[in-house]
Amino acid sequence: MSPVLDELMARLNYIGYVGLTLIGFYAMITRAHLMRQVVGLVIFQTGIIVFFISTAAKWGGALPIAVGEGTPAPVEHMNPLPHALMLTAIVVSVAVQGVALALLIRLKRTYGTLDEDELVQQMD
Amino acid sequence: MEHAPVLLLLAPLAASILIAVLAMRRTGVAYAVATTATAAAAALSWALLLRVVEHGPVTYLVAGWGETGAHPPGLDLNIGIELVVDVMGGFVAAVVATMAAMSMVWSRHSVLEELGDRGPTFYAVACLALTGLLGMCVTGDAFNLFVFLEVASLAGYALVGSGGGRSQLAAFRYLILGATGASLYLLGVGYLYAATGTLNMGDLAGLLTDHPLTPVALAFIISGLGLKMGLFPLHAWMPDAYTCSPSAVAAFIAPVFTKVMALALMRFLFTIFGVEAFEGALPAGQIIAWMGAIAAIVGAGVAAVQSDLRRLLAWSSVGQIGYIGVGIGIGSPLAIAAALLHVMNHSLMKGALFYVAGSSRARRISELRGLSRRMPVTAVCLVIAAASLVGVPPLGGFFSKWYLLQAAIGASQPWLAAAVIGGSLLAIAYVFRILEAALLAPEKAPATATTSSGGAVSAPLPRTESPPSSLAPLVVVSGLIIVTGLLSHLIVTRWLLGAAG
Repeated sequence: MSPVLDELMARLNYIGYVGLTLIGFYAMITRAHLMRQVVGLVIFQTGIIVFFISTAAKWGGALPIAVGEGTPAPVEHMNPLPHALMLTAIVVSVAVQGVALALLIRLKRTYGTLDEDELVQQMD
Repeated sequence: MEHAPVLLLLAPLAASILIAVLAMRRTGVAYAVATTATAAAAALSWALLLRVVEHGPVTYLVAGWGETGAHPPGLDLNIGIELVVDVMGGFVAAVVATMAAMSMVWSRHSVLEELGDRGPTFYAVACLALTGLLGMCVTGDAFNLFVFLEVASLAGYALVGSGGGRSQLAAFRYLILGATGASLYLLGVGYLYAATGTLNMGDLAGLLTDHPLTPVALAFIISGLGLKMGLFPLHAWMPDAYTCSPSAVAAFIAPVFTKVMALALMRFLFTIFGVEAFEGALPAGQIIAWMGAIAAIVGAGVAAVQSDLRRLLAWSSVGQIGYIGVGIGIGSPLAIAAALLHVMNHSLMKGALFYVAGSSRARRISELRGLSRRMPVTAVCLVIAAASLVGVPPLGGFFSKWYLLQAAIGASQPWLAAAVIGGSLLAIAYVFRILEAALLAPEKAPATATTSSGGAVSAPLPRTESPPSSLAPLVVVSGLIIVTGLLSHLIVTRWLLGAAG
């Protein structure tokens, strides 16, 4: 296969991260329905999580679990720190979704619609 | 005292939990707990700052976990979470804690009027926000800064959305933009980790020169923190968030939130990236300085044509944050000192102006008429804050602009200096409109004070001066504007010039 395609295939998860992030960003800025903007935000944050985890992976890396005598050297394990950081990031993402959905519930109850254009019209 | 950095964070956090558990029905108890905790945090922050100015940075390893020297040889990086209080962070923490305490004290009547039963929720969430903000000021770990950033931001979104209908949409927009900003910051930290393998700010500082990933990380971090800071053109959430939220919320978040985000940007540009940020592949300093310059002009210009008082103050904030951006962008020690001085001055000025806006119940500038007759002390404080905003010596605002101009000319950037002056001239326009309404214009008869669209008429100007819990913080903050103005030279030379190590 051509060298360019080889390089690309070796970095597939990074392309995935860029794709997810851009899809999420596109959804946030082009959708008028507020719920879809929230979904876009979540996809955006997921793309970033994929980036961190991609930096942690190694070809042929062992799972980062100590098994007593047969534990490989630390450098041969996959890096567990980004995984731990991303657990925190996922929790943060869930909290943001919670606040966003709470706001959407109140908006829906007050105005009956979640479409941004209709909301702005009703408010003025 | 050796645990002071972590106690600084625990005080408001404990208050928030206490209020949530014990006082959700009693606003009075919640008020007492919140004001005590924020006052304690303010006292601690000043003690820390004075200690740091005398003896150098204070470091604290949270839970004592991860002592260096306890690792295998060849692994000298800090693996625990370190809190580092240096002059830059300590100064902003002191300013933020003090303004938060003032806003808590002020908020008593406003919360009772506008939030009613949900008063205790305001105090609990506001204390959480303060925890996050102070954490951002004192942390020495890049990912820990992200965690505290999100704590503060989520509390901010909830606070902004606690008003009526419009505030919920304003809060939603703030949430979308703010969460995007925080995620971009996280991405930048991810690149920094991928490049160096450490998240500790002190360790990152030495490892980033000439690394190919540095410009990418820098770009993401500037975009992310710029969004949170409200640097033009990333300011879109600010006008609605400040205008549509309850008065107590605006008075709480306006003086403090964006300043801490500016500190985070300073932390990255000066402590971590250092010279790389200014002379590396990405000319970050130039970009931020020019964004700030445009912000100064556009912010003041749009403010001059606003008729809603709080929207005017929001656009004025956009402009003032532009000045801080110019200071950060120039990057010389004098510019950093000017930016930090302006952080303090803007906090004080905007705080005082939002207190006046809240106490006077004025929604539109025309509703300020008669302020000098009905509420003379408030009017005097308004004059002090407004004059400082324009830059009248010897008040604080003048000195921060003065040092900023000196720094701009010293760095051979005459256009930046011109933008600073232009912004101040435009500020005269909107300040004059506020002062004219408050001091000179005759009072309108109540019968004509209805809105043309038939919308809800806001409460008229109070008949008498505000109650002490609303008046005292305003007077104290106005006094501080005068005092810090007179002491500006001392503050800059003794504390701020050595701030960026």
